Amino acid sequence: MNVLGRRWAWAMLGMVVVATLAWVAWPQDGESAEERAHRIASELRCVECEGLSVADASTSTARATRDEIDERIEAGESDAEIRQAYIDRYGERILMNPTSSGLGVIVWVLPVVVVALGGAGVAFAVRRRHGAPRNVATPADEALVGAVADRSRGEPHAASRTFDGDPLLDERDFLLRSLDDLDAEYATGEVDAETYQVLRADYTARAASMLRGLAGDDPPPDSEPSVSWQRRALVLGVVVVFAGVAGVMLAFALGARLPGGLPTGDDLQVSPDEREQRLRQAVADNPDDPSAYLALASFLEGEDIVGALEAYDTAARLDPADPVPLAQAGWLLFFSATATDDTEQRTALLEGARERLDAAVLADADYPDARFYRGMVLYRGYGDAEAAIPELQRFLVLAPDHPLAEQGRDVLAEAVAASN
Amino acid sequence: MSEPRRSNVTRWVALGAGLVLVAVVVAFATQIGGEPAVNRPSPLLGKDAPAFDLPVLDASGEQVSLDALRGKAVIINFWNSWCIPCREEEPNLKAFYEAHANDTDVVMIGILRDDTVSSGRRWADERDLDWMLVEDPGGKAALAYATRGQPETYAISTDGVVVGSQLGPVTVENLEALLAAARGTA
Repeated sequence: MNVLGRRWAWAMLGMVVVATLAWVAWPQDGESAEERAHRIASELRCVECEGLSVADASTSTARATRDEIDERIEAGESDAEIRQAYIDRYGERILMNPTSSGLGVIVWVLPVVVVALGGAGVAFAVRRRHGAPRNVATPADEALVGAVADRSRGEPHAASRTFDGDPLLDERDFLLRSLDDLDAEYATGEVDAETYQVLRADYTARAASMLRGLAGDDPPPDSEPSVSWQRRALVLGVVVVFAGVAGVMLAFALGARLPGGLPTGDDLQVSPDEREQRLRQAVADNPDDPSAYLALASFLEGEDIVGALEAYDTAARLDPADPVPLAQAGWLLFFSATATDDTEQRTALLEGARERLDAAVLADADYPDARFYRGMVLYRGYGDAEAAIPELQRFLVLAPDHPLAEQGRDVLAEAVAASN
Repeated sequence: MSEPRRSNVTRWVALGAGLVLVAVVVAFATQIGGEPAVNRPSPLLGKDAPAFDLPVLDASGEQVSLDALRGKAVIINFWNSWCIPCREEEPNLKAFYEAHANDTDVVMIGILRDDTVSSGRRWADERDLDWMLVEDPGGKAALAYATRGQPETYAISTDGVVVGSQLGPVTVENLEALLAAARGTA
């Protein structure tokens, strides 16, 4: 390809890159408010989770944040204004991706610099490989190198010439071995005749020059000037200091990481594993404290239903007067019952739920959650609307502002309609 | 095909890779040794305290508004019934509250975070928590104060500015220091 052609190729490549970046970065048209809210939520970090965005998390704070984003969109705030509101509140760490200003720029610039350096290195190597002028060997060069090579082949370790630490001897041995390799490649057809001739002349000329330098006839060509240990130490020191400063700056940009935290610098107070470990330790330290089992059960509800149920049952056994563990265990069993298609298993789970909820109401007739759960089990589980109605009514009287009150009213209305 | 000239490019690439590796190692080593998140000051420090108007937990129907407390030193504690650290700090909150129960310029508010109102009420009744406890419908106050969990405690000055914060359980000494900051006597 000629020079003009190469320039066109580079220009085309540049245009493709710019067009791709523009397409990716350009605001998408036709985005609904819901899609916009989801996109913004996915840019914000869930502060109570590990590596999850607000869009993906189910914690109370994530839910509240999603609600707030909806309100802000409805109020007409721009994406930038909404993002800034959370940055003001939590700092830059709230963003899933660091900003491209301040110290955060390091995170963006460093990979670009690395890729640019790598690309430049590769381009330089290719250019040098293909563009470096080749030497031409004279008959005297051929004779000198041939004699040394023949002599060298007679040495006991010729087949495995190794570098011995002297840069000039290493260079000589390397060139001689390269000649042998080139001959072998030509013999096997890996190198065409023209390339073989050019490379052989080049290697031979350089090897001859090197041999003359070693013999004291000429200064060795292309030999690198010896570098003093002071200079090496200086370069090494500069590299280490530069790397250290870059590392510290990067660390400041990412923030502190707690032992056990994620290498991505997630801003976590306590990881779920650590929290579970603490709760289990609390149970082990206080085996007679029902509240310790209650706290563990509450934590396990999302991931380990059997473990949660065992902990609730233990808490109920330790404090039979407390309706909370009984009610929670009953509710868990009810949920498990609704999730199974096995009739026999469903019946057993429902009976277990009802048994615990009856005990919860017996322990405290005014505990609203137990009334709600029992009403749900009776109506949704057993289809007994008439039995469910007084439970749900009692629940709404006891706790009209309960978070489940709205659901309670809906189910009560359904049950009333079904009983008529 | 063999290439007889060992170029300096290889050395530079190796040097660059080594440099990046050292930078990454230093970055992570520094992070591990850095200040824990729990001790990091709240970004709200020095800013106006987010306003709230929240229902009292006892179902009396009363509301508590931060604006109405202007002129008083306010200690806000986010808590709930199931968190172990909240239980750890409860005796300290009680001791602090009792020590300042007659101070007319001090208000201590417990905001229920990430819990059902019924559980919060039961817990407060069982434990005789006498200070002002409020609900937080929708978790809006917890969000406005940028809480990351519970317990978290904030000091609000008499002119409504966040002047102190503590993530995790508080001691009586922590609370006294927060109060001094809120009163402007620190």
